[in-house]
Amino acid sequence: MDSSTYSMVLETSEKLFAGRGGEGFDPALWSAAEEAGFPLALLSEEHGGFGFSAREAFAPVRVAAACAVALPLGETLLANWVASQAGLGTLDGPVALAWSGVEAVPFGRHLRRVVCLSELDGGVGLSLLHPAAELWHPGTNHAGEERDMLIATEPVAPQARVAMSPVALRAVMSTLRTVQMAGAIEAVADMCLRYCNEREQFGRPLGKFQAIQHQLAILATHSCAATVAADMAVAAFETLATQGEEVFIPTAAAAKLRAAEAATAAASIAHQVHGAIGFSEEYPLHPLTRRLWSWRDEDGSESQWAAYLANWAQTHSERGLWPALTACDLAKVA
Amino acid sequence: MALPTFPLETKTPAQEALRDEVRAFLAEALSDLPARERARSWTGFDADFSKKLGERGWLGMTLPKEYGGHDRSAVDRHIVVEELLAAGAPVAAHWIADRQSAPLILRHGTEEQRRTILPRIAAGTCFFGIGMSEAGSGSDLASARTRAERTADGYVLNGTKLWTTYAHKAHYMIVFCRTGQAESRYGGFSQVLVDMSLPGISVSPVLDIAGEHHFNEVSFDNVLLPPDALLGKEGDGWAQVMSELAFERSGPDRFLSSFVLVDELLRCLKRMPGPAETSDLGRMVARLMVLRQMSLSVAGRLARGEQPVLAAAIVKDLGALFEQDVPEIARRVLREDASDLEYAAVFRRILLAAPSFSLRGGTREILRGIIARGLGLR
Ligand SMILES: Cc1cc2nc3c(=O)[nH]c(=O)nc-3n(C[C@H](O)[C@H](O)[C@H](O)COP(=O)(O)OP(=O)(O)OC[C@H]3O[C@@H](n4cnc5c(N)ncnc54)[C@H](O)[C@@H]3O)c2cc1C
Repeated sequence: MDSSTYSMVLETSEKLFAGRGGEGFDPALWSAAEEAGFPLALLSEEHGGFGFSAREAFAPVRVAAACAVALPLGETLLANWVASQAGLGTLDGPVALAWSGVEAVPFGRHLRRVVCLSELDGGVGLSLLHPAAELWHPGTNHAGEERDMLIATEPVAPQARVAMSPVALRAVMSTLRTVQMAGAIEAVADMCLRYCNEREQFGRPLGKFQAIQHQLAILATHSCAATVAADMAVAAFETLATQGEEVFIPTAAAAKLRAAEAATAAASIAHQVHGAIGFSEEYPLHPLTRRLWSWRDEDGSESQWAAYLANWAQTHSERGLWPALTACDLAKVA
Repeated sequence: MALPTFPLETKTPAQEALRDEVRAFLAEALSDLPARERARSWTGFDADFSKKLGERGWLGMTLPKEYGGHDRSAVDRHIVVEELLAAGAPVAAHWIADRQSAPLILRHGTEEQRRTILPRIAAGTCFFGIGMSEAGSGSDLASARTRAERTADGYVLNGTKLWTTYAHKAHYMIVFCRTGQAESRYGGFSQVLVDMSLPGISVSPVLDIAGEHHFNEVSFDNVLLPPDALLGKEGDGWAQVMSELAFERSGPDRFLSSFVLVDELLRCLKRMPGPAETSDLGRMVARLMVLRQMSLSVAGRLARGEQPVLAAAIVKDLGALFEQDVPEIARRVLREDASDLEYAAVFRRILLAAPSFSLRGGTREILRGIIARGLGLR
């Protein structure tokens, strides 16, 4: 991996997203992100991308989450990746993947199209929809990000398919949330640290009290774990073609679960050490914590992935769990 | 923010082959060891087994060849150690020597000390004890009172160390002691290499809450040490002991102590009728999978010559929480266990060992203090 590309992507994303956080979709910011090429970053050069590694392609998503930016950036990234796998070409954004049925669609009303997914035998069927505005039933997640229901239309026959198991694709989609959680948790940790160094009570900065130091230490351990979890999921996504779904799915499931656990701890500690100011609307903590509370359970709830991984562990325990775990260790990208 | 980085490691074919080789050896060597014994994890003592590992080149792996080592990377060592722990191999005999005494001697010892001791550690025939804690000096190690007084022919050692794991089997103990006047809180300390066969040393057992004997009280009563017992520089003891602790804290022994119970739990679940609520099991596996990669990453940083003190403290803190949660999760996931005697024995052993996981090698609070310092809070 070229680490200079990675830092360049981080830097560009930070410039673009810092201070642009907000409650709902921001069309101007979307255009800027599109101009930077972020939504197509997972595509190979011949498909209109830059030939980025997955880690580089997901970097803007991480930064956008850390800045509490409301954009279907990762959604468009993944929809294009799936579309290119299925030979559907490049899709103008914003666009998102959505399982046909009752799940809410991220940023639904702002999307140009929806890639509707259906479970087929040995794969996933795709159909492109252009829902009319009145077909969206608006909703939001805990953070006010648009999560809209598509009012049932006539069932559409799949136009294309990808040879990927539905659960693998769900795991790909969950990886987006894992990356977002890692980004937001790090931002939360950063915010807590700064606040505890500044805010004084009893004549000292809060950060000088051992009880607070230990809370911040716990927060740091969770932030590191979430970051590693996200890196693991992204790296396993990158080796999907070579190491296969058997490595990717449990890795992504574990990563999502671990990041969700970290999200819960981070939000709780962050609100505690911030006191009342952190509970106020004007203070920029809740755009992060409310997102964390949502993302924990989006694209597979924490309980669903926990049940999945428990089942995985049980079915792989013939020779003991250990060989199954080490089999998931990452190999170098070919 | 000053959070440490954990760059992911990727496995090479050679590393996979090493893992397979160790695994195959263990399957054979441990085939008769019941789970309740394997549950002792790295407190299970078997000198013959350690010797066998030495013969296979799996001890002193990172030491240079000229000292009997194998010039392997910290990642290779990590792989071997992980396999040993996951299998519940009885590794206690060589554990301390291989993990921390050998690197300490390599870094600070004289040429003579390296030549005489390191090859024996790599062979799995020379065992060590850690002489840090005392009755009045636990977390606050700088309050240690054991003293080595310089004389014309070496040192005279007096004092009492406590909680010394396997001192009753050790050939040497590396004793952290005062040698000079403390011009500062951390000054005037040294480390001495004490041959446990010297006169004046008495080792008495201290039993743990399960009635087991692994740690001890060790008294030094006018023990005459030769001048070459000094390890490193006189007065540098504090810095040396801190770097020793970094080795002690960084490995997979900090999250795999209760792994045998995880395996036993899965074995029992296979026979259990009815839909037990297993989402706790899924969360547990998730934590373990991420911890493994964090720990591997620390090994990778060590292999590149870095000193990831903060990263190691983070892994140890998360690791101890995980190890301690395993029996509690097992209780929640498995509704009945009394009928399976092996499971019950493993469970009890780990339940009763668990409190020590966040004490030995630096307590949870001390680690969090280290992390807070790393964050710039202290
Ligand atoms: C199984 C086992 C094996 C061991 N083997 C060895 C060995 O081989 N060699 C050896 O030298 N030692 C060994 N130890 C000792 C171990 O290093 C000490 O137990 C540890 O350093 C803590 O010291 P202590 O037990 O005296 O507790 P104390 O230091 O008295 O601490 C008691 C409690 O107070 C807390 N505390 C202390 N100071 C602070 C502070 N500043 N801020 C907040 N909280 C604080 C601690 O975290 C702990 O919770 C072993 C211990 C165990 C349990």
